[in-house]
Amino acid sequence: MAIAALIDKQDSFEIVRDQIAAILAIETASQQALAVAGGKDPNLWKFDVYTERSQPWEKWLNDQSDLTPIVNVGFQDANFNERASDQFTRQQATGTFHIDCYGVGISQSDGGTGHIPGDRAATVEAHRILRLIRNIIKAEDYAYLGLMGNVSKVWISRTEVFTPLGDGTDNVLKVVPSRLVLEVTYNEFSPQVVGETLEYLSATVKRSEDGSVIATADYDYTAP
Amino acid sequence: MGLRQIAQADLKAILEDDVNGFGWPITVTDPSNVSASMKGHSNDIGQMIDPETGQLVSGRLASVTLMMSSLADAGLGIPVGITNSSQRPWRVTFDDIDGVSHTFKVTNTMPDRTVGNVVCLLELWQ
Repeated sequence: MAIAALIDKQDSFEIVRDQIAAILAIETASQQALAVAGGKDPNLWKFDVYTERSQPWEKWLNDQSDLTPIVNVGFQDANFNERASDQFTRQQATGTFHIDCYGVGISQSDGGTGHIPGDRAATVEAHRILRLIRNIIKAEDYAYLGLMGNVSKVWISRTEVFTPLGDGTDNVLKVVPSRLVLEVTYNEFSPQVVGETLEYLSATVKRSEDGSVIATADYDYTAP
Repeated sequence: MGLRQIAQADLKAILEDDVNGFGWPITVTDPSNVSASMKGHSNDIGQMIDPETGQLVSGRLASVTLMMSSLADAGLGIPVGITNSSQRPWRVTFDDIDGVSHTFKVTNTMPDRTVGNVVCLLELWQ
């Protein structure tokens, strides 16, 4: 016995991951537009969004012409809740998604007799993007990530900021990652056997005064 | 001349002789903007770093090695990493092998007072 239909769909964890990335991409553009309208520097609301990239800061190593902060959305793992699921059709899962924000800083003169340290600049960038991400994800406009009906909970379980990448090996470029850990509860569905229709039957169910329940149906049959 | 002084002289030849050694023109600038052109060993290479995520990632390591006596002769002290942002950091500028100039900030240094050289670890400077 084999599954009759081609499995040609995304699972919910993929839909949720892509939805998170889409929301962030939409909002960085929208926030930049709002910043321009408000007479502010739109670059402070600008970040690039990727999904499932393990090394997105590679582009900064040898080319520092574009230092736009990077956000990467990745699916980490999921736990399935047996009590809230059924055995065959629908399984409820809580997936963990990592939204990693990378800030980069290059040391430079402050225009006077001092300097702007790259390690601090990178950390401040990582904090700034983490702040934007948290506000966007928990904005009421994006309740349930816009996937109400499938997603039943969106919860930021942790935020953290790491030491600069390569710290201890003295990388020439100061890159600081920060991470927002998002737990999302959603349903996963699996292929089902579609039963073959033998005959359509219409029935009427009545309850009589003595409490008995009577079903009546009208259908053709061949007497034995 | 003792063995230690011979070692220092040999090291100076290796680091600063640009004909028979690894000597390479390097401009060193101190926090008060005093610059000196000198010879030393420069290094700018890719490396793999372990960010402790279970996956090695690309990195880049740059450093220069200078003789402490040559720094003194140029009127400079021993470079150090400058934490205080109200001061300028030590900076070094040198060409790569293709003649493209790069300027770096000195982040930390490892002076070797036994044979008289100092290794300066570098960070990009804009």
